[in-house]
Amino acid sequence: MTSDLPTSQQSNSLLRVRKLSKSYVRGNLLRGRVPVEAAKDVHFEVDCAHTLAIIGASGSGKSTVARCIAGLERPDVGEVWIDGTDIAQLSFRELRPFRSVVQMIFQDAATSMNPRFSAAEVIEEPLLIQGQHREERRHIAETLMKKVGLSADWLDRSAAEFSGGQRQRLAIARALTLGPKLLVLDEAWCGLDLSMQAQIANLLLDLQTEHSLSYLLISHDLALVARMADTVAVMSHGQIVESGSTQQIISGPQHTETKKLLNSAKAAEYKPQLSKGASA
Amino acid sequence: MLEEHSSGDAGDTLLEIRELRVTYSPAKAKPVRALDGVSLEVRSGEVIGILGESGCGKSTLANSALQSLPSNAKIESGEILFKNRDLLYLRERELTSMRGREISLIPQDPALALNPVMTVGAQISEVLRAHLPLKAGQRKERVHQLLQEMGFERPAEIYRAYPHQLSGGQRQRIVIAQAISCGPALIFADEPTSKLDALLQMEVVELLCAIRVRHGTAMVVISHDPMLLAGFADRIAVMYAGRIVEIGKCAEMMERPMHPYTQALMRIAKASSIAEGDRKGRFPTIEGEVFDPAMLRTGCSFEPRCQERMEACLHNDPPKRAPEAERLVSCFQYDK
Amino acid sequence: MNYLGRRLVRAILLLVGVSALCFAFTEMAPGSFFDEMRLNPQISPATITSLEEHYGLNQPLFVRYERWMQAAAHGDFGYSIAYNTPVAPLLWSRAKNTLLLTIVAMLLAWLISVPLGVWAAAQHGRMLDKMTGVTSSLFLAVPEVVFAVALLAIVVRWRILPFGGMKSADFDGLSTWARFWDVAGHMLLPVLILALADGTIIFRHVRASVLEALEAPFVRASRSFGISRTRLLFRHVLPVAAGPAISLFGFSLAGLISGSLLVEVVCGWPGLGPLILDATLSRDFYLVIGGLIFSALFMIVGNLIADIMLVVADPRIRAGVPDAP
Repeated sequence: MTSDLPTSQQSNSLLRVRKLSKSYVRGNLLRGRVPVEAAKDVHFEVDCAHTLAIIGASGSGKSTVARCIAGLERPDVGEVWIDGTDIAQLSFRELRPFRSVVQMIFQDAATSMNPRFSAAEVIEEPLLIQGQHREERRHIAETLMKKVGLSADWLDRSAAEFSGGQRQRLAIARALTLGPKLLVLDEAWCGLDLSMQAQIANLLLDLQTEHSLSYLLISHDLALVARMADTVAVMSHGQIVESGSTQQIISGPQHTETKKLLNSAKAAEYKPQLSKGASA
Repeated sequence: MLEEHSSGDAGDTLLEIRELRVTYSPAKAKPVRALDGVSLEVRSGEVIGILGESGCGKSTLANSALQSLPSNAKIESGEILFKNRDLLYLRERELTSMRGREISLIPQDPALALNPVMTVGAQISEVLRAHLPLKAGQRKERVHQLLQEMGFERPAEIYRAYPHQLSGGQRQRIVIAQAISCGPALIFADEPTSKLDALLQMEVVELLCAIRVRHGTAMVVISHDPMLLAGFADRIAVMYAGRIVEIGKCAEMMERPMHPYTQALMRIAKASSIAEGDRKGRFPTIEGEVFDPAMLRTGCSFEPRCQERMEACLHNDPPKRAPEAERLVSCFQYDK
Repeated sequence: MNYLGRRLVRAILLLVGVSALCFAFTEMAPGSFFDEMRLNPQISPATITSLEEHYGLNQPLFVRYERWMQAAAHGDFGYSIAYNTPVAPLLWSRAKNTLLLTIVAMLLAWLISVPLGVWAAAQHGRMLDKMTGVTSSLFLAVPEVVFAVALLAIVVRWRILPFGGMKSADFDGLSTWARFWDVAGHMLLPVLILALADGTIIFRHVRASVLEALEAPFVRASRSFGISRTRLLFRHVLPVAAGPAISLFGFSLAGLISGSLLVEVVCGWPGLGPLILDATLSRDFYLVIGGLIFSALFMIVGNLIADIMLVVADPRIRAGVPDAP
């Protein structure tokens, strides 16, 4: 188990985020331009082979943070230290080597890959850019397919032929091609069926033990997060309002936003008396 | 089919679906049977939860009841009796006047279910206009009442808003307002919360509960999450591969699921609940893929993923058995 | 800056771009207005040089463009050598005729095609829809010149319509009412050719956008609330389908104007078409450029009108939402 979040164990942390802020300007004909502060002074750390979950209601800014860390967006201010380098203000070209260190997996796997690509093309695409040999690429793709629980015989099927759960596995395989150290999972299994969610979660847990991967988990679902994360940070209106070990957060929430999220997760749980009261 | 009427708390039969079979014939693929002999009874004022994974036919069930299936779907056999009238024999005009007034559907994705170039007030008003002989002013007043009932504090502002100006949760409440506007006796809700975050999900469930208490509306709520249904369904029907594999009272289904599929679903759901899942670790799962209805097979459809398969499962359809009152289960384990 | 403001700036920049391209291309074209004079032994080279100087044609292109821009900003588009008058009034007198032709053709095309397209979409998949589909493909495949020539042949053979020009020889002696009918008769043929070509495209677009709107999830949702088919089509679907159709308006106008230039030449309609053609053949530099700018102006104004209508029709554009919610 890791230490509490704010303490800085410099030696062990893979990702360190300091004072990250990002605001957007939203165009509006009637009211002019309205700046929206999506992330404000965000601090956190992710240790090697550990999982940090950022939870919060929709619009709390958790996805913005994820995109800044995956290098898809540039923070206005702040530091994003990955493996000892601050990537926050790197140029597009300088960011390149870090794209293999940090990989992002999106909510909707279907839209994040070309449906006409075969599974092999989807997985090999990052390798192609790195300029690897053809047989070597194929070999890597086959290994990865097996690793994520898909048959290597399916490499020539088009992405569109895979089911939702299988496509999410494919997305994970693609993310693993370049041997990343950190996966950013943005609601990665929202919209999947319950049994598929559990399968994907198990796969990610297994991969974490096998490859010492770190995860940054973005979710609104505290219940699912509880089984996946070592530490939890709660975001509200662009700020981290509470953080700590998963058990701390669940057993002794301090901030009202955490309590609200926890209550909604608990309320969704089965209570015999509630169902009886409703039917009376 | 359900034969027991012993329980005292439920009302008369409102909707009865008997042995319904529906097949889709996509343009470039083999025909797919989406519903394979589904029977379900909804009593007035009752909330039934339909639990199942994608592709199990739960949305087809809702669309069949409203007779709003896409054009490539065909009802091959069965009956859908609503207040003792078979909907399959109604003319289009009769169906139109029934939809929204007697049976309503809350669609899955409120972002897509609303017209982007019409104010939401006008969209609710349109439903009223279709069914009730109200003047424009009366309709507007009624829409304001509905918006208030949906928990909007400034109905006049919401009335004039366009869908893109509202949040996901607000849009869902607008769609619910449309669905209840003409006081239907039965509402189908197709994954009413799947596009919302956890906080908003609870809001919507609470709203549906309140509507049910206030208006006594019967509801069929479709979801893949047992925990969502557990809160307010009276009975739960579990669907797999176009069939209802188990149905029973909510509390009993949650505490003593009988079908291996239901048991596995409940295990996953409980594992991902706060109380039991506060430790990092693997989830219990159901291995294998969600059933693909395009694949024809003999025997029980759940057999490939079942932990308790027997020889009989491979060759024959499991029979429906009632091991206890108010419970039906299709599994050879109970075939004694 | 708001949406319309941006569109207006874009339109002006577009006009500047078009004029620059016109200058560049006209300059690149071989020959000049005075080529024929040079062959004439009775005109001395000195006269030609002085003429060139008079019209400023001996200046480098950039200087001419700059001068022209300055003048054009004040409504002066240069001087026609062949007609020996300023370009602007000359163009305007012809542009009026072109406008008359295109506006009437446009109204006719939209009035027929929109209801037809909506109707075909509502009938989707039935025999009548398929028949109109095949017919429209046929019309689309045949170039307008072929139509023009075919219709001309019919008109000339059976003498159903007055043909050639805009007015009959005895036009000045006619009463107002008879004058109207005279012009209408002369117009009928070119209008028909234009409307047919333009209407086919509008028909197909309207049908496609209504079909798309009909299949939107909100239509299914509204149907499940018991809103009748007819009400759904007119009150719910058409406003949604209007967006793409309005965007088409600008394109359609552009097509009409370029089509009109051709049809005018074939039918002898005294519009911009024959004028630009003659000017091009005789290398009447400023007249060519003026004519091209005028037709570009029509297209740009058409697009601007379409943009304004879009703002009125779609609340999402009003609010500056880039896409659907």
